[in-house]
Parts: sequence; C-alpha cells; structure tokens
Amino acid sequence: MNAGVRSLRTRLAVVLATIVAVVLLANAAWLVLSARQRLRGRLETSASLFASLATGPVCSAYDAYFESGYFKFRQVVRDLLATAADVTRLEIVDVEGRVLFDSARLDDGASGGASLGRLDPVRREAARRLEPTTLRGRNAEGDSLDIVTPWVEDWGRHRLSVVYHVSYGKLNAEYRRYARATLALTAVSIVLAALFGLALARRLTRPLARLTDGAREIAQGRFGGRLDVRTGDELQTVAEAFNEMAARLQTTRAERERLIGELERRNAELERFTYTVSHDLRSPLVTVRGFVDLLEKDVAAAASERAAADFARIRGATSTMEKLLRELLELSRVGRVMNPPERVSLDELAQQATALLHERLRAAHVRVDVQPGLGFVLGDRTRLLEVFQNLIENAVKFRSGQGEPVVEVGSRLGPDGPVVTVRDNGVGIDPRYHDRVFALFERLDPRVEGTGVGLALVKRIVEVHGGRVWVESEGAGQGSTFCFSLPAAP
Amino acid sequence: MSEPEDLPVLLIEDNPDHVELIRRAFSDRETPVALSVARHGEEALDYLFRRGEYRDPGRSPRPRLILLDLRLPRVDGLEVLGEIKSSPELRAIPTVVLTTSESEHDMTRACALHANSYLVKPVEFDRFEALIGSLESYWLGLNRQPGDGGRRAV
Repeated sequence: MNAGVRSLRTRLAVVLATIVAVVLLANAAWLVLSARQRLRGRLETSASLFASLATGPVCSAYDAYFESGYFKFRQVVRDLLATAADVTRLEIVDVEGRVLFDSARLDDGASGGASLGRLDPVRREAARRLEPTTLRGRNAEGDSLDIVTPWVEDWGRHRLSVVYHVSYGKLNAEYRRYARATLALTAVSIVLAALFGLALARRLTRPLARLTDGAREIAQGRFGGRLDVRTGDELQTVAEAFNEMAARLQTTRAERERLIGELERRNAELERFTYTVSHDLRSPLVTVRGFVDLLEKDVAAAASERAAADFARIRGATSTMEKLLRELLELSRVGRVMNPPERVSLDELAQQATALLHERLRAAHVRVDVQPGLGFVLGDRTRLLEVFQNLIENAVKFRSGQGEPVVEVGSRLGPDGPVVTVRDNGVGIDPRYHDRVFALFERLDPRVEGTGVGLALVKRIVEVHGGRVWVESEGAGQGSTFCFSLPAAP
Repeated sequence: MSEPEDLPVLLIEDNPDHVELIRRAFSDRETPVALSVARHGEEALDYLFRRGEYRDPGRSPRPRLILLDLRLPRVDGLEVLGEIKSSPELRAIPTVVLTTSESEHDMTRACALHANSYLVKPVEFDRFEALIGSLESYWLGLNRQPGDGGRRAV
C-alpha cells in the first residue's frame, strides 16, 4: 500500500461521508422545521376551538356567578382552563377594553375587578369586533398568541369578549425534545455513513493498490508478475489491459535482449576481424618483406644455403596469407550465401568427408571410423560437409605423437536429441580453453599449422543451421570429442 | 652465444619467422644478446615465474628486457603484460610491446598496463633492423635499472 492510493481512499471516504452528512442534515432540518410548523398549527387550531367553545360558558358563568357566587365562577374557570393545557390565562373584557376578570388573579375574588385596567389599543380593537381575532406577538417567554373571542348573546348582543393567552411553552419543550432526538439520530447516521464510506473506499481502492504495486514491479523491470483483480468492473478491465501490457513488455524485452546478445556476438566477431586485418594479415607481410630484404644481402654475400631457407620462409608466408584470405572469405559467406536446404544424410556426409581427406589421412597415418546411424538433417549439404571435413582435419592436426591416431565419428542421444561426436585420441584440450577453441583466429598451439578459422567456421555453420557445437576433453593428452547437435529433419 | 656476459632478453613471439627476423637483427648488433623465446603467453609466464619446464633458474635467467607480441595463443599478450607489471619481482624489467597491431585499443590497453614502450613492427627489414638497433642501444645501453650491478653494454 502506498501514499497515493491511501490519499485517494481518504478523499473518497470524505466525499461519501460529506454527501451523506449533507443529505441527512437537510432531512433533519426539514423534519424539525416542519414539525414546528405542524405542532404550532395544531396548537392554534385546538386553541381556537377551545376559545370558541369556552367563550359561551365562561361569559354565562360570569354573568350568573361573578357577583353572587364567585366561588362557583372560579370553579367553572378552573375546570375550563384545566381542559386546555396550552391556554394559560383568560381575561373577560367589555367592548370598551376594560378588563373585568383575569384568571391570573383568580384568587383575588370579585372585588379586584375594578382595578384590572384596560387592554392595549390593539386588543381593545379586537375586543370590539364580532369575529374571533388571533393576535401573534412576542413577550418575555418568546412567541405569544392571544385569541380574542366575542361572546355574542341572543339577538346579536355583544357585551363581553374573552381574551385567551395561549402559551408555546409546552409545545416548545416537546418540539425541542423532538429536535434533539432527530439530530441525535442524524449524528449517529452520519458517523455510520462515514465508517461505511471508509470501508467502501477501502474496498474500492484495494484493487487499485494492487494495480499500483504491479505497475511499480514493471517499472523496476520485473515483468513476470500478473495482476489477479476480479472485481468484474472497470478495474478488472484495467488489470487485464495491464497484464497484456506486461506480457508484451516481457516479450519485447526478451526479443530485445536476444537482439542485443546477437549484436554483441557480431560485434565481438567484427572486432576480432578488424584486429586480424591489422595484425594477422600484417604479420606474413612483415615476414615476406623481411626475408626479401635479407635475401638481397644474402645473395650479395653469396650465402646460398641461407638463401634457400629464406625463400622457404617467404613462400610459407605468402601461402599463409593466401589461406587466411581464402578462409576469411569462406567464413564471411556462411549465413550470407546459402544453398537451398535439403534432407541430408549425415552418414553420407561423414563418408564423403573421409574420402575427400583420403590423401591427408594416409600421409598422417590416421584411421577414421564412421559408425552408421547418424541420422538426417535439413540443411545446406556443402556447408555441413565442411563441418565434418574441418572436424576431422582438426583431429588430424592435433594427433598425439604416441600410438595409432584414430578418429571416431559416431552419435549418442543427448538431452535435446541426437548428438554427433567426432572423437580423437590426440593431444586434448585444457578445459580452460574449451570456449576459446571456437573463436575466430584463436590458435592454442603455435607449432601447429593453421589460421584459426576452421573451428570458427564449424561453429558458424552449425549455428546458422540452428544447432550447437562444443568440445569435451579431460585435458592435455586425453584426446578430445567435438560434439554438435542439429535439429533433426522431419 | 650464451657466454656469461651475454645480456638475457626474453622474446615472447608466436611467429617463428618473426623470431628469426628479430634474431638476425640482433645478431648484427654489437651487444651480445642471449635471446630466449617463449612461443605463447603460458610459456612466457612459466619462464618468468619459473614454473614447469623453466623451474630451474639456470634455464630462466632474469631478462634485462622483455619483447612482447600481443596476439598470442592461449594467454594473450596483454594478460602477460598485466601479470608482469603486477608482480613486484618482475615489474622493474623493461617490457616493450613489439607487435604488428596498430589498433588504438591495443595501445591504450598496453599503456594502461604500464608497458614501457609500444613499437609497431615495420614491414621493411632495414627499418626493422634500425628499430632493433635503437631498442638495443636505448634499453640495453643507456637505460639503467635496479639490479644492473653497474654492468653496462658498450
């Protein structure tokens, strides 16, 4: 997991939680405000109803008992007020706005009526009217509501009105409880939403983190890993595209490395070639010129014996040069100029090579045994013949002085198919030099004639045919076995 | 040829023709030189480190000068040079690269490995002789090295 994905996850969680919080808060605000509206409306309706129902009995009771039986009147008022919890106080006024009775001073008795004063102008005006009037205002306790209801007697006579004081106190308390409960519920919901959002964000970003890790792997050059994201959504598509890219990169890199390797091999060969032109081809020239110059002196001094030896050296140097040039040309043709591939019997080739080398083999007293069953390959017959020729010639060159030199051409089954072997009982090769023997112009023994091209040519031909060539030898005096494997013909 | 006062020179050269040319060039000079020839890098190292057939110090006297060809069978000339110059015992011996290679790469490498001189074999024998002559008069005549014992060529 890393910082980038973590911050993305946090952002996602925060956005989710914020959205949920805003929605829930808006919902709560709406609920609370509409509840307030609804509660007030209900209160006002019931207060109005109460006012219209209570006005008659109150005023009748006032007329009947205020003067003569205050105790009874007081009881009526108390009973009425007890039925309406929100109506806290009522006043009985005449149409001039004089207060005749105030329930707040219920216990003062009938005597207190004269000292109750007058209503303020607005209420006085309402007291005169024949319809109930609702007056909204504010007092020390907050919003207030007064309902002024006229007492219309028979024949429309209107002497008295009743002012009801409605309190929001109880309603406000209920409303606050409701608001608190709603807000608490909302807060809990927001917290739950935030937790849910975090969990969801984590769930959503987990494959993203895997993608990131995978990308980093690739950035560091490890193309082997594959992403296993099975979310069934766009992330899976991304992961699949990603895997495809990794696979492509892997192939591309393998191909590039192969090409680089190839290029490096070619370069090394070219370097050797340049080196040879500057050194090996110059070398016989130094000999030729050196001995020609010496000969001049020898002839002048009539040293004929030395002259003959010098002539031999010159001849040797020129033929070395000629051979070098011919073999270089030959090597450069392999892979460039090819005969069309055909099905070739390796048995036939081995026999043919032995026949071609007949003279040399006889002169060196070397016996060549070819065991049949070498198989068939698809390739350039002429070139493959050169492989056998060069390997047998090589064995002849490096025969040891002791015993009868024998070259055995045979085959065995290797891990990648049949392997052709050319075994000799010659001088052998130190394992240190096993790789170098196939290098161009590499000569391990300066006493043995040769230009160092033969085995390089063998290697080139075998590799051009998609095969492999190597040497096995325990060391000096142990003989050598040159082995090559070629893709078998169908 | 191997009189006591002959100066031992080790020639590391795989081409027998060139060995002969160098031998003849030396034979015309006045300094008597005992030329030992190693025909590949391994033989040269055997000689210098007194191994194998050169175990007997009588067969491998310390050379006053080493002439080194670069392209050698088995162990490359530059490797031989590296071995010589990293051996406290041998590094004082003047080692002159004498080769047909004019490759920049070889010169750079030889220089980096502290070759005392880098010479390219000339094609004309007169110049070849002159070169051997200069070599002889400078490295075996004028040049002083530790362990000379005051002995100098003419």
